[in-house]
Amino acid sequence: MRVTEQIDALEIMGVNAPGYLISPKIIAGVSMIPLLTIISVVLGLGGGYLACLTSHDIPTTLYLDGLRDGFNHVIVTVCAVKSISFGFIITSVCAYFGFYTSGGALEVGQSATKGVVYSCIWILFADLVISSLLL
Amino acid sequence: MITVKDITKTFGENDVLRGISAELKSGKNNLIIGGSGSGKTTLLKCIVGLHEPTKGQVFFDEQNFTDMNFEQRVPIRTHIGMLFQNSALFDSMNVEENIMFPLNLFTNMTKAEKLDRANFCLERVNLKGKNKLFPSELSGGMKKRVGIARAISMQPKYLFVDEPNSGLDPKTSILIDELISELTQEYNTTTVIVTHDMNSVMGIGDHIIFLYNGKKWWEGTNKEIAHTDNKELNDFVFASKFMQAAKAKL
Repeated sequence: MRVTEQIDALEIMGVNAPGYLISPKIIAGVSMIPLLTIISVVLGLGGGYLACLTSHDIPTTLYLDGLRDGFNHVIVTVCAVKSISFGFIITSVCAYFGFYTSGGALEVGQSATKGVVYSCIWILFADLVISSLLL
Repeated sequence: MITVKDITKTFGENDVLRGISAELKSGKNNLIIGGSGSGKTTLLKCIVGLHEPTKGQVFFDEQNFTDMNFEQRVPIRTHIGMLFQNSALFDSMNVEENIMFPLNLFTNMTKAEKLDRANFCLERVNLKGKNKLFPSELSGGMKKRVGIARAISMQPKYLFVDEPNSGLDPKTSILIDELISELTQEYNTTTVIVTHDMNSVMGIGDHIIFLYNGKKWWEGTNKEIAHTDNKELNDFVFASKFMQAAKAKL
């Protein structure tokens, strides 16, 4: 959008471009990544149950007992904190690089790569910090 | 009227604009011309607040725009319309939504009123019935006209146009120039056009500012430009053989 002057057009109209463009992405990331995490956890546990049911290698009652015995509420907390943090990192870092891209098509590609690389690095760092604080 | 006082803009150690002062009059086509890198787009961006000048001030009808913060500038910005070099239409919106975008932001009009206004603006730029097309489905000239329609949707007091003829064929360029000129008369806007198209200069240049090396080198009208003895201006305006021949006939 910066390259095609669409951000300049927003600013000329008196729109707070960072707020208008970046905040919906951050809100979406912070709310949807935890939701995706919940879905993936449910699907993972459900998939395990289905595997037990179809393969008959492990009785389903044993599987469910294992789930209950192995449950630790701290893991849920860590999962929630990490998903919210990662959602924030992914959207804010990528939006930052996208917002301040200047030049042409080449720079757009470079910014996309930077966005992915920097958000991966920040996620690794946040993972380390959250794990060492909460676990 | 827009008053520019002693505008200086520096990027690092590069002085792009050096103490430019000018009065840009309402109801006139004020053209900023100059070679590539002379600072004309930078001057335009300093005037509209996309760049903050290193030194100097810009006044919109006596109001000091430069010293205002973002919120204070909003009421003035609602009176500004701008056509960008690449038209800067929002890709995710169709023509109608692009034109209604500023109306959605700054007016309490009903949806029907906004649609009426969008249709009026589209008709004004000869694009009646193209409401539902997306920018990717438009030609360069059509994009420019939609950009103009969006710029005039709020009935602006100030109209800024950056390189209106870039990428257009000569016939479409003339149509765009005429449209801008008509709108300037119709709404009595202070129109500021950055261009290096000599047809525009000679056709609609009511007030021309020539920039050279970041300085205001010459100021006058399109009638005066043919008789000036300013060497740099003559080298710029009459660079082509066609223009030299046209000058010889004057």
